Amino acid sequence: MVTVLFYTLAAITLATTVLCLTRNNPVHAVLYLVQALFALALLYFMLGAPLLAAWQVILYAGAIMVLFLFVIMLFEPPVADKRTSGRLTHWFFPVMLGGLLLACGGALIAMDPAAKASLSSYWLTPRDYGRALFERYALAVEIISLILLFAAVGAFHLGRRYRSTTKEDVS
Amino acid sequence: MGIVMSEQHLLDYMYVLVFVLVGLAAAVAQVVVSRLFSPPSIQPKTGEPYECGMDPYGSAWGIRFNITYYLYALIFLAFDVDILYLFPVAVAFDTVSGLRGVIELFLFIGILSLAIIYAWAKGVFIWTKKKPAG
Amino acid sequence: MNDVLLTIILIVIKLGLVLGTVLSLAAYMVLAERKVLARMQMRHGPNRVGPFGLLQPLADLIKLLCKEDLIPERADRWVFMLAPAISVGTALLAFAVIPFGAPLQIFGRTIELVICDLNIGLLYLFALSSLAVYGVALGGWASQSKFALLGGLRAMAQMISYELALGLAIVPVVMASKSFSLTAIVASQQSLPNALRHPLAFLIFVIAIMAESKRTPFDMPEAENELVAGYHTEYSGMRFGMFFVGEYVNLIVLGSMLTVLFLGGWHGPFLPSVGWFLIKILAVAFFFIWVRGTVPRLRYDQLMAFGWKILVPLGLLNILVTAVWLLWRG
Repeated sequence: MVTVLFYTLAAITLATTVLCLTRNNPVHAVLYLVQALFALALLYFMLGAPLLAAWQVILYAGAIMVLFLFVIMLFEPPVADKRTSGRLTHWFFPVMLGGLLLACGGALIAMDPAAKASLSSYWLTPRDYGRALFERYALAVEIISLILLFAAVGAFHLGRRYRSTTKEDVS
Repeated sequence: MGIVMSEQHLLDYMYVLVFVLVGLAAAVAQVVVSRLFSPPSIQPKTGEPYECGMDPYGSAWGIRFNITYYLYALIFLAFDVDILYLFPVAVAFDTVSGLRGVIELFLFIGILSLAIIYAWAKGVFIWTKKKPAG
Repeated sequence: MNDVLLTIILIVIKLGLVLGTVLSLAAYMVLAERKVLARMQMRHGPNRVGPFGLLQPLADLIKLLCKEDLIPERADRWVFMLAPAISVGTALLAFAVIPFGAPLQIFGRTIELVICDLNIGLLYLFALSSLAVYGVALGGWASQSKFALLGGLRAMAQMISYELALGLAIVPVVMASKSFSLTAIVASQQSLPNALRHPLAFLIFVIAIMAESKRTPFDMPEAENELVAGYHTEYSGMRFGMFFVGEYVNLIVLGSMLTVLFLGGWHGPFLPSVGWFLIKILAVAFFFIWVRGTVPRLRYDQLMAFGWKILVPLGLLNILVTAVWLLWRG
């Protein structure tokens, strides 16, 4: 069962990534990428890292993709071809992949709600994970916070400079 | 599965599956039902976006909005990572002996607060007023 | 075989009860909101359909079903159709982890009154609330209408900002209860609800969920006097209905989050546990309606500044104070 799920999820990840790369419309590409990230999150969950799976969804799907969306909303997407927009292929892939993903997720969470079953020797409770972060990797965590600070400062700096040059913005 | 699928597992499995199925069915059903009942009446202007009765001016895609939105998304990203570190650390807070844990927490939060202070000082939270045209 | 059959029947009953309760609660929340608001404004509210207007939700449903289901010509059809489903889906899925009562003993079986007790339940809720952004963002973008796009943008920026405050308010609770499992968090409040233990976190959380649900003091994304209806300007018929139901289901979800995290969950004297849970959710909902009837809308820049300059720093400070307090108490 785990093997089947693993290969299904891997196939979904690959398919959505390929679809993401081949889309003309950037918003559709982002949606496929979000699906790929979900499949990855489910894989993490299956490999006994529930915390990592939650982070994957919260951080990548919930934060980074939202950032992408903000940028993409600035673009004008290519006009959709009227002839193809009603065709089967247009909705078949998203519905198919989304449904498969949901089914896999349901099966996975239902089979072991605590993500304990598959790699039991590597399984880590959130508590153990937090402890490791807190004790062994405390320095790394502090350094990461510094890097985040630098990144944020850099971004603000760039944003400030360009902001004064935009004229016709609507808020 | 590698392990025997016990009754408990089967039970949970059924729950989530039925939950998802019922949810999907409910979502599809209402759209289908409304298809059956709703009167289709497509006029020349029906498909146009609403712009208070005026003819739509240009496209909504590609309008330029304030970059402040983007800056908010950026600072949100930095802080989201912060929170994601705080969660496991919070769960294990009592396992770390006393003062050390508190000092680590102070350092981590202190460093990240600098990001907010910097953004504040740089005026990210101030929305620039658009100059009236002309 | 009999056992399996019994199990399946139990599942269906539990799911049917949860879904049925949540959806009808959402429908009646709409009625309650209209009634209470009307009373606060010296009106009567809907009182024609059925006794005291009790059949109004049904009439609304029929009306919405019979409305023309429009998709704007230039809209992105599939994304347009997907957006309301995301809105409802993320709200409904949240109920999978919310414990709504003490374990029941029936025929010698213990029935946990939670659908799926994930050990990262809290993060699951947090993830769903971060995904709810997609519903409004995509709805606003796909309509290809300027009002919808601006509403969607505002909603995105607002939701992500207040999500931070939400997360920061949860951290002290996790510090005290030492678990992400919602069942464990409820269990840790047996003697004293978290609202009394972490009053500041409670306050931040209440404000944050009010902003997350895009309700009145924070309803900039759909401010009707400047943005028509924000991100769902172009939606009609049942698709609009889905956004609407999603909003009220979300209100119930946020109310249950508040109940589980801060108001002691299903703990309470005398009444059965499920009763307490429902009473608490309804009290939270009433409070929200009351606020809507009382407080005027914020300006958008004030709203964002409030989130970033007040709530987030307070949340950070609160975590530090909690840490010191936990250390001092030993």
